[in-house]
Amino acid sequence: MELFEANQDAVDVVHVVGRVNSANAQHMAGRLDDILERGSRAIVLDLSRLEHMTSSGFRSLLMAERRAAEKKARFVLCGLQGLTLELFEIGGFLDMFEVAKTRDDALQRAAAPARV
Amino acid sequence: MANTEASLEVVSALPEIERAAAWLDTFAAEADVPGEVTSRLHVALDEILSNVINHAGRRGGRILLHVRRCAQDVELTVVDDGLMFDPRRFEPLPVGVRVAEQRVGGAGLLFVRTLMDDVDYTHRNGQNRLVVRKRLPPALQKE
Repeated sequence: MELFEANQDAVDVVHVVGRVNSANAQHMAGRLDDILERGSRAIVLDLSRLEHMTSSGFRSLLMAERRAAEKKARFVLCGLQGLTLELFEIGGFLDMFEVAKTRDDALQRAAAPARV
Repeated sequence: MANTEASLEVVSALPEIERAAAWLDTFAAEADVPGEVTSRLHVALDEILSNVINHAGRRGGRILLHVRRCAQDVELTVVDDGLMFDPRRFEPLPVGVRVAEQRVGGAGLLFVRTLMDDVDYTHRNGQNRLVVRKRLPPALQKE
Protein backbone atom coordinates (compact mmCIF):
# COMPACT_ATOMS: atom_id res chain seq x y z
CA MET A 1 0.00 0.00 0.00
CA GLU A 2 1.10 3.53 -0.76
CA LEU A 3 -0.47 6.74 0.50
CA PHE A 4 -0.08 9.87 -1.60
CA GLU A 5 -1.06 13.19 -0.10
CA ALA A 6 -1.99 16.38 -1.92
CA ASN A 7 -3.62 19.62 -0.90
CA GLN A 8 -6.29 21.11 -3.10
CA ASP A 9 -8.18 24.28 -2.10
CA ALA A 10 -7.49 23.70 1.63
CA VAL A 11 -8.69 20.09 1.39
CA ASP A 12 -6.25 17.29 2.20
CA VAL A 13 -6.60 14.65 -0.51
CA VAL A 14 -5.16 11.23 0.31
CA HIS A 15 -4.86 8.59 -2.41
CA VAL A 16 -4.76 5.03 -1.18
CA VAL A 17 -3.00 2.85 -3.75
CA GLY A 18 -2.71 -0.93 -3.65
CA ARG A 19 -4.04 -3.11 -0.85
CA VAL A 20 -4.95 -2.31 2.72
CA ASN A 21 -4.63 -5.36 4.96
CA SER A 22 -4.01 -6.27 8.58
CA ALA A 23 -0.27 -5.72 8.16
CA ASN A 24 -0.51 -2.10 6.98
CA ALA A 25 -3.93 -0.80 8.14
CA GLN A 26 -2.42 0.78 11.25
CA HIS A 27 0.00 2.72 9.10
CA MET A 28 -2.95 4.22 7.20
CA ALA A 29 -4.72 5.02 10.49
CA GLY A 30 -1.57 6.75 11.78
CA ARG A 31 -1.20 8.90 8.68
CA LEU A 32 -4.84 10.00 8.77
CA ASP A 33 -4.46 10.78 12.45
CA ASP A 34 -1.35 12.87 11.75
CA ILE A 35 -3.24 14.90 9.14
CA LEU A 36 -6.08 15.58 11.58
CA GLU A 37 -3.62 16.38 14.39
CA ARG A 38 -1.94 19.07 12.33
CA GLY A 39 -5.31 20.81 12.06
CA SER A 40 -6.83 19.65 8.79
CA ARG A 41 -10.45 20.78 8.40
CA ALA A 42 -11.26 18.39 5.57
CA ILE A 43 -9.91 15.11 4.21
CA VAL A 44 -10.92 13.46 0.95
CA LEU A 45 -9.86 9.82 0.78
CA ASP A 46 -9.61 8.76 -2.85
CA LEU A 47 -10.00 4.97 -3.14
CA SER A 48 -10.08 4.78 -6.95
CA ARG A 49 -6.72 2.96 -7.04
CA LEU A 50 -7.37 0.70 -4.07
CA GLU A 51 -7.35 -3.00 -5.03
CA HIS A 52 -9.07 -4.16 -1.86
CA MET A 53 -9.31 -3.50 1.86
CA THR A 54 -9.77 -6.09 4.59
CA SER A 55 -11.67 -5.58 7.86
CA SER A 56 -8.57 -4.12 9.55
CA GLY A 57 -8.67 -1.31 7.00
CA PHE A 58 -12.34 -0.66 7.72
CA ARG A 59 -11.47 -0.46 11.42
CA SER A 60 -8.84 2.18 10.61
CA LEU A 61 -11.31 4.15 8.49
CA LEU A 62 -13.91 4.09 11.26
CA MET A 63 -11.29 5.35 13.74
CA ALA A 64 -10.38 8.17 11.37
CA GLU A 65 -14.04 9.07 10.84
CA ARG A 66 -14.61 9.19 14.63
CA ARG A 67 -11.49 11.31 15.12
CA ALA A 68 -12.55 13.68 12.32
CA ALA A 69 -16.00 14.06 13.90
CA GLU A 70 -14.40 14.93 17.26
CA LYS A 71 -12.34 17.61 15.57
CA LYS A 72 -15.31 18.79 13.48
CA ALA A 73 -13.34 18.04 10.33
CA ARG A 74 -14.96 16.68 7.18
CA PHE A 75 -14.02 13.18 6.07
CA VAL A 76 -15.30 12.22 2.64
CA LEU A 77 -14.60 9.05 0.65
CA CYS A 78 -14.65 8.77 -3.14
CA GLY A 79 -13.56 6.40 -5.90
CA LEU A 80 -15.24 3.28 -4.50
CA GLN A 81 -15.16 0.66 -7.27
CA GLY A 82 -14.84 -3.06 -7.98
CA LEU A 83 -14.06 -5.30 -5.05
CA THR A 84 -13.63 -2.28 -2.76
CA LEU A 85 -17.23 -1.23 -3.35
CA GLU A 86 -18.38 -4.84 -2.94
CA LEU A 87 -16.67 -5.02 0.48
CA PHE A 88 -18.29 -1.75 1.60
CA GLU A 89 -21.66 -3.24 0.62
CA ILE A 90 -21.09 -6.66 2.20
CA GLY A 91 -19.96 -5.16 5.51
CA GLY A 92 -22.75 -2.57 5.57
CA PHE A 93 -20.18 0.24 5.75
CA LEU A 94 -21.66 2.59 3.15
CA ASP A 95 -23.96 4.23 5.70
CA MET A 96 -21.11 4.79 8.18
CA PHE A 97 -19.20 7.24 6.00
CA GLU A 98 -19.87 10.25 3.81
CA VAL A 99 -19.37 8.74 0.35
CA ALA A 100 -19.22 10.88 -2.79
CA LYS A 101 -19.81 9.55 -6.29
CA THR A 102 -17.00 11.52 -7.91
CA ARG A 103 -13.83 13.22 -6.81
CA ASP A 104 -15.27 16.65 -7.71
CA ASP A 105 -18.34 15.91 -5.62
CA ALA A 106 -16.07 14.85 -2.74
CA LEU A 107 -14.04 18.06 -2.98
CA GLN A 108 -17.22 20.15 -2.98
CA ARG A 109 -18.56 18.35 0.06
CA ALA A 110 -15.24 18.64 1.85
CA ALA A 111 -15.13 22.38 1.22
CA ALA A 112 -18.57 22.87 2.81
CA PRO A 113 -18.74 24.62 6.23
CA ALA A 114 -17.35 22.70 9.20
CA ARG A 115 -19.34 19.91 10.85
CA VAL A 116 -21.44 20.83 13.83
CA MET B 1 1.32 -24.22 -16.04
CA ALA B 2 4.31 -24.80 -13.78
CA ASN B 3 2.83 -25.15 -10.34
CA THR B 4 -0.69 -26.06 -9.41
CA GLU B 5 -0.11 -26.20 -5.68
CA ALA B 6 2.11 -24.57 -3.09
CA SER B 7 2.66 -24.62 0.67
CA LEU B 8 4.03 -22.17 3.20
CA GLU B 9 4.59 -22.29 6.95
CA VAL B 10 4.27 -19.02 8.85
CA VAL B 11 4.67 -18.09 12.50
CA SER B 12 1.63 -16.77 14.35
CA ALA B 13 2.65 -13.09 14.19
CA LEU B 14 1.15 -10.15 12.26
CA PRO B 15 4.22 -9.30 10.09
CA GLU B 16 3.96 -12.79 8.59
CA ILE B 17 0.79 -11.75 6.81
CA GLU B 18 2.77 -9.79 4.20
CA ARG B 19 4.90 -12.87 3.52
CA ALA B 20 1.77 -14.98 3.12
CA ALA B 21 0.31 -12.42 0.69
CA ALA B 22 3.52 -12.43 -1.39
CA TRP B 23 3.40 -16.23 -1.44
CA LEU B 24 -0.19 -16.18 -2.70
CA ASP B 25 0.75 -13.65 -5.41
CA THR B 26 3.60 -15.87 -6.58
CA PHE B 27 1.37 -18.91 -6.73
CA ALA B 28 -1.38 -17.02 -8.59
CA ALA B 29 1.10 -15.84 -11.23
CA GLU B 30 2.58 -19.31 -11.73
CA ALA B 31 -0.78 -21.05 -11.81
CA ASP B 32 -2.46 -18.43 -14.05
CA VAL B 33 -5.15 -17.63 -11.51
CA PRO B 34 -7.12 -14.59 -12.75
CA GLY B 35 -6.88 -11.37 -10.76
CA GLU B 36 -10.55 -11.31 -9.71
CA VAL B 37 -10.11 -14.73 -8.03
CA THR B 38 -6.72 -13.87 -6.54
CA SER B 39 -7.93 -10.61 -4.95
CA ARG B 40 -10.83 -12.42 -3.26
CA LEU B 41 -8.44 -15.09 -1.99
CA HIS B 42 -6.20 -12.32 -0.64
CA VAL B 43 -9.06 -10.88 1.41
CA ALA B 44 -10.01 -14.34 2.73
CA LEU B 45 -6.38 -15.23 3.59
CA ASP B 46 -5.86 -11.94 5.44
CA GLU B 47 -9.06 -12.32 7.45
CA ILE B 48 -8.40 -15.95 8.36
CA LEU B 49 -4.75 -15.34 9.31
CA SER B 50 -5.43 -12.19 11.32
CA ASN B 51 -8.20 -14.00 13.17
CA VAL B 52 -5.89 -16.88 14.06
CA ILE B 53 -3.01 -14.57 15.01
CA ASN B 54 -5.07 -12.04 17.01
CA HIS B 55 -7.57 -14.30 18.71
CA ALA B 56 -7.03 -18.00 18.42
CA GLY B 57 -3.38 -18.76 17.82
CA ARG B 58 -0.66 -19.60 20.28
CA ARG B 59 1.98 -16.86 20.33
CA GLY B 60 4.81 -18.12 18.14
CA GLY B 61 2.71 -21.09 17.00
CA ARG B 62 2.95 -22.39 13.45
CA ILE B 63 0.34 -21.95 10.77
CA LEU B 64 0.42 -24.08 7.65
CA LEU B 65 -0.91 -22.71 4.39
CA HIS B 66 -1.66 -24.68 1.26
CA VAL B 67 -3.14 -23.50 -2.02
CA ARG B 68 -4.13 -25.60 -4.99
CA ARG B 69 -5.58 -24.85 -8.40
CA CYS B 70 -8.17 -27.53 -9.11
CA ALA B 71 -10.19 -28.12 -12.29
CA GLN B 72 -12.99 -25.77 -11.32
CA ASP B 73 -11.75 -23.75 -8.37
CA VAL B 74 -8.82 -22.62 -6.27
CA GLU B 75 -8.64 -24.18 -2.81
CA LEU B 76 -6.89 -22.51 0.12
CA THR B 77 -6.24 -24.44 3.34
CA VAL B 78 -5.15 -22.95 6.68
CA VAL B 79 -4.11 -25.30 9.50
CA ASP B 80 -3.30 -24.06 13.00
CA ASP B 81 -3.17 -25.47 16.52
CA GLY B 82 -4.85 -22.51 18.27
CA LEU B 83 -8.21 -22.35 19.98
CA MET B 84 -11.03 -24.26 18.31
CA PHE B 85 -13.01 -21.84 16.16
CA ASP B 86 -15.57 -22.69 13.49
CA PRO B 87 -16.13 -19.56 11.36
CA ARG B 88 -19.25 -21.10 9.82
CA ARG B 89 -21.02 -20.87 13.17
CA PHE B 90 -20.32 -17.21 13.67
CA GLU B 91 -23.49 -15.11 13.34
CA PRO B 92 -22.75 -11.63 11.96
CA LEU B 93 -24.80 -8.69 13.19
CA PRO B 94 -27.76 -7.86 10.99
CA VAL B 95 -27.09 -5.07 8.52
CA GLY B 96 -28.30 -1.80 9.98
CA VAL B 97 -26.90 -2.34 13.46
CA ARG B 98 -24.68 0.68 13.88
CA VAL B 99 -22.24 -0.62 16.43
CA ALA B 100 -19.06 0.13 14.58
CA GLU B 101 -16.59 -1.99 16.52
CA GLN B 102 -18.83 -5.05 16.59
CA ARG B 103 -19.58 -4.57 12.93
CA VAL B 104 -15.90 -4.60 12.04
CA GLY B 105 -15.28 -7.63 14.24
CA GLY B 106 -17.85 -9.60 12.32
CA ALA B 107 -17.05 -8.15 8.92
CA GLY B 108 -13.91 -10.21 8.41
CA LEU B 109 -15.72 -13.52 8.66
CA LEU B 110 -18.63 -12.14 6.68
CA PHE B 111 -16.15 -11.22 3.92
CA VAL B 112 -14.78 -14.78 3.91
CA ARG B 113 -18.21 -16.38 3.75
CA THR B 114 -19.52 -14.01 1.09
CA LEU B 115 -16.47 -13.88 -1.19
CA MET B 116 -15.74 -17.62 -1.12
CA ASP B 117 -18.00 -20.21 -2.74
CA ASP B 118 -17.35 -22.83 -0.08
CA VAL B 119 -16.07 -22.76 3.52
CA ASP B 120 -15.25 -26.05 5.24
CA TYR B 121 -13.96 -26.52 8.80
CA THR B 122 -12.80 -29.53 10.77
CA HIS B 123 -11.09 -29.85 14.16
CA ARG B 124 -9.00 -32.98 14.64
CA ASN B 125 -6.03 -33.93 16.83
CA GLY B 126 -5.97 -30.43 18.31
CA GLN B 127 -5.76 -28.75 14.91
CA ASN B 128 -8.12 -26.35 13.16
CA ARG B 129 -8.33 -27.01 9.44
CA LEU B 130 -10.14 -24.36 7.43
CA VAL B 131 -10.60 -24.89 3.68
CA VAL B 132 -12.07 -22.20 1.44
CA ARG B 133 -12.74 -22.49 -2.27
CA LYS B 134 -13.27 -19.91 -4.97
CA ARG B 135 -14.63 -21.00 -8.34
CA LEU B 136 -12.70 -20.07 -11.48
CA PRO B 137 -14.57 -18.18 -14.21
CA PRO B 138 -16.43 -20.71 -16.46
CA ALA B 139 -14.02 -20.17 -19.37
CA LEU B 140 -11.10 -21.38 -17.22
CA GLN B 141 -12.80 -24.41 -15.69
CA LYS B 142 -11.86 -27.88 -16.89
CA GLU B 143 -13.97 -31.00 -17.01
